[in-house]
Amino acid sequence: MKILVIEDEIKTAKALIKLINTIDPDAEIAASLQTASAAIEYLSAHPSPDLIFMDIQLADGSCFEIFKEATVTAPVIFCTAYDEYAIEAFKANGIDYILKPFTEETLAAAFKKVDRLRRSLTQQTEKPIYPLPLQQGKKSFLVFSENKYVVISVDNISFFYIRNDFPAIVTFDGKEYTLNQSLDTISAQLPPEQFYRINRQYLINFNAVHEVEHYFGRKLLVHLKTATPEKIIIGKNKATEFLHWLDNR
Amino acid sequence: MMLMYEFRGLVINLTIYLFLHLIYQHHITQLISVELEKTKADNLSAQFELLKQQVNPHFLFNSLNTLKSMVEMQDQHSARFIVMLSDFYRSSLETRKQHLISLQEELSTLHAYIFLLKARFEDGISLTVAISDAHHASFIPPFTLQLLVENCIKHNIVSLGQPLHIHIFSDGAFIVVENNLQLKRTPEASTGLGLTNIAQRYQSLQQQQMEIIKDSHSFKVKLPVLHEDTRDRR
Repeated sequence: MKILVIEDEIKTAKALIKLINTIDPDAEIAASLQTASAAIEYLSAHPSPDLIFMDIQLADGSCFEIFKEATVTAPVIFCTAYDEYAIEAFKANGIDYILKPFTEETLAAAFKKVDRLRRSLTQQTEKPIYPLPLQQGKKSFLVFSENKYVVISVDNISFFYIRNDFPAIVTFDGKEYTLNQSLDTISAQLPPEQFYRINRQYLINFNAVHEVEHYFGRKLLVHLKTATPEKIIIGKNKATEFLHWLDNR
Repeated sequence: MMLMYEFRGLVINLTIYLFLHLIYQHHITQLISVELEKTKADNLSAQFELLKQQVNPHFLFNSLNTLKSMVEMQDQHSARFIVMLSDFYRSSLETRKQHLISLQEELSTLHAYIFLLKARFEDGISLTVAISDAHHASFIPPFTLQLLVENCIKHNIVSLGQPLHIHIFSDGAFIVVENNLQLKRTPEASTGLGLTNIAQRYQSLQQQQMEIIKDSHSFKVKLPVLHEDTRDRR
């Protein structure tokens, strides 16, 4: 993480950098600046750092001058002995406001906050990319079972179903694993010619289909090669589509 | 008979008048006591404000922060910093109530103040004091020099790249506080205890006024030297 320190007191800046390094050994101090002018110059000439530590009263005036003259995209943690600027600070990219003097714990808590916010923000922006393109399809699933991570190849999966509100995988050898994605998300990631969403509960592999028989009410009853906890029944609306899927592979 | 009626009317009028007057008096007393309470409250809040100015929370927290950094970096001057900080606060709380103190006393407080500033800004600030021996025995309103120095750092850039130089020296019948002018982009919020306050204090003490001389590159405040006799006039 690249960190910019803007602090007019030399001793405080040094002590702050030392503390940052103990809390986050991977942190890289991009620069330590004393004045608002130097900060404006730095931010216009260099790529944005990942995080900025900023004192409010700088050697040549208020730090809010920086926001007027340079574009600040990085989150800012304000460190100051003054408590009256909190509202302005939150308008200016502030994600935390630390009152000086502060302890290592306060700083560590601020770092955790940065981390937490960054994670939740990146998750949101990456979501649309997350389901893989349909034509390619997902090749395997990572599941956690008996304190171990296990990779299950899609070819070994007989069907997915919802067990106690959570989707589960059942493999051809009859083993079950719980997943924490929704069945909709799972089905969107799988090749449609290989897996079919029979109803709200079941998503089955083509290779798992043993036989299909007529059921009353123009429904279909599907028998899989692997035992299923319930009978798999396809509603009459979906029956034709299902037969079509079986036929046109 | 007529006279008796008249007399009775007079008595009744008098009674009513006295009664009304009593009510009126009562009302006035009440107003006065309300006013008194208000004045008391005003006085208390004024005292509180004064105390706050004496303690100067911003300066205190900045100093504590510097001290904490010094301790963390295991600076060998930390102990001295603590002593200077307590010296400064002791005189700050004790001498504000006096009208005048000796320049000698003022300079020793200033010395502690300068030490604290040097610890905070390192080479971003330099202060020289050259007061003639004759002036050492003179008098000054307490904290005048400290306020002027505080003013300098409030309005001017104090950084390693652009150090602030403050000179305090004797010049004839004046003590001069001079600094190089390098104004901040935005001045810090003022405590209100600025130049006007000092000017008022001098005005009430002596005929001669404080002078402010400002040009493009320097800022000068000339304080008339006060001798013992002006103190007696107070």
